[in-house]
Amino acid sequence: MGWDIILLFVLMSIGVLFITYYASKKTKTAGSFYTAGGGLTARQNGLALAGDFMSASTFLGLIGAFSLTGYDGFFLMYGALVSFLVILFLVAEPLRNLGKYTLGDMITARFKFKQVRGVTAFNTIIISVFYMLAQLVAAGALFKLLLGIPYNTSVLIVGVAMLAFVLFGGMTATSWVQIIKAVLLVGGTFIMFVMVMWKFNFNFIGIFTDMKTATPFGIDFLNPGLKYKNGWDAASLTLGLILGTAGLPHVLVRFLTVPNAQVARKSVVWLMWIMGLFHIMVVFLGFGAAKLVGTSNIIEANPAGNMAAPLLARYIGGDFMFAFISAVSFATILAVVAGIVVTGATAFSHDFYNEILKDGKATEKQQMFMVRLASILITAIAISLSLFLQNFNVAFVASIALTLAASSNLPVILLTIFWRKFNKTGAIFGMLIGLISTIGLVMLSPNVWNPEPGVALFTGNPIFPLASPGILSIPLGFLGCYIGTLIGARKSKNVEDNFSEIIVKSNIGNDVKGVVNH
Amino acid sequence: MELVKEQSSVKQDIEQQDNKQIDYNKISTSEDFKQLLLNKKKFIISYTIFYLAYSLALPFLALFTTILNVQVIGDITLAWIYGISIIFMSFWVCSVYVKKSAEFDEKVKQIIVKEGL
Repeated sequence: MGWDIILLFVLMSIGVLFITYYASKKTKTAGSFYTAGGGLTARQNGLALAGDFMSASTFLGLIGAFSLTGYDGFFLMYGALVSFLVILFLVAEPLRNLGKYTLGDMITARFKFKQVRGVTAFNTIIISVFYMLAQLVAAGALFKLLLGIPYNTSVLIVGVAMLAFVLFGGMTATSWVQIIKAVLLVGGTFIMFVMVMWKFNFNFIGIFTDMKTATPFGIDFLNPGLKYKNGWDAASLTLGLILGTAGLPHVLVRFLTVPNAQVARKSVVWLMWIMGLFHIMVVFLGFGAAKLVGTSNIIEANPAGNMAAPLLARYIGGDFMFAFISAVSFATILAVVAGIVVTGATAFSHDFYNEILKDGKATEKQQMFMVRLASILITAIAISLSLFLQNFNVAFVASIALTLAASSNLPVILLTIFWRKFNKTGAIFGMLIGLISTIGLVMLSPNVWNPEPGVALFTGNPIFPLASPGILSIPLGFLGCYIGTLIGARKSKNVEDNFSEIIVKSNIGNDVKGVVNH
Repeated sequence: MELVKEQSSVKQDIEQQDNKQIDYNKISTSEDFKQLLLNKKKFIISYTIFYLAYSLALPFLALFTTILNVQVIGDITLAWIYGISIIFMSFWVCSVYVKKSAEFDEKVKQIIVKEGL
């Protein structure tokens, strides 16, 4: 570990502290803690969204995937971009128009029952903890590789550093750290991209010819199927990615940090361009890593390919570039984890504490106390769980979170906005069946069962053949909603139907008074 | 009916502004609103089917068939062009959405004025 790495980390920490100081002055109310007071602009929110999505596992994982598996890197990558089309077309504007602080607000705008809010909040917290676990495990592995700090210590450092700025700065600090990190990450990627292409004389066609002989896989590197032998597995993964993002609570909450639907829409446009261009560069950085660093060196540093990007940075830009990419990865993990913690803690404080226990009458002071307490608790739970999970594959843990979101949150979100007959029982059934079937299928999948002893948690043949359960669990989530609705149909006949209100509000927006008051 | 009554007195109108119950049923059954929803639905459903089909076709075409392994430019195969094209397809669909929703925004404004919201 050189002094330049330490210097950059210190600079980065001072920057984060500075942001936290200014944000803490703005974070006086629970609303400002939960969603930055709903005052972000489209560009700020778009960058923050991009920041949420360019997590360490995306940046390091995708470049690694393209460098080691060639074409099959696509199956991990493009789903996230398309998922923002799903968000743009179906979720963003109704969510902004109906919700206030949480997903629970949006669902209970239609079904005004504490059970519905409780299940939604529970779901939010479960998904957030899973997603956070993936980030923490990645952080631990990364710092062990980059800085030689032991896994447990790294996880603790990340947890404590992140808590420090979440507790004081809430969503405002989180958003700004996210924005600055997104700029640094895209900037760093662009510089690397130009330097890599320089080595290939900016010949975008010739680089493909080079790749035919650059790796031990020969021509297969350029053809699909190097990693995914089973098309259904790749399709299931893609489906999970496309629909999962649209149900991730910490992504959805980003649409509540803007003042109205128009800004929500424009922030997706910003995100699309940033992420699309980032994705194009990632492909060539993966090629660059495979050719310049070499397959064997990448695998030697980390079998999953997570070190491809830092190693490529060192190859083309020396120790300084290596230090820069490492420091940006650190900021990335901090910012993403912080966003998840704020989302989970808000679900706890706003939904469970204020709305369910206190009937919406908790004081600002009580809410601020609860949201901070919840942040500490969620972080503590995730850190202690992550200590047991260090040998788990990061992508696998993250894919559970995404599939959970796609199977339990998304069906309910969509049907709440679009289906007149949908009722309370349907919503609760849908969420629980999505949750249970995802976890159940994962427990039966090859991730947990392997015929060879020691490879997975249990020894034996997996009952469910696919590693990612999305292709089955997502339809099950929708089916759960449908069956629940049929069961609850008689009961809900006596309940006043407010679908007209929902459909008017979600389409006309918060220009109508009394919908959202930030 | 209620809206008409409200206009009878300006003072009463201002008082009722604060706790007026918006008649959502009336708005949701108005012709303008129904037309707006219908247009929106047509647009959203057709494009959603398009971009989902476009992107979900890739794993099937790439892994169950070899038709994408054709070289197009130099050593770049159709599979790479398809993969990268998803990014540009997303840009395009996104820009169509922005244009289309500006039209919908106009309609919404008209409805807001008409319904006196």
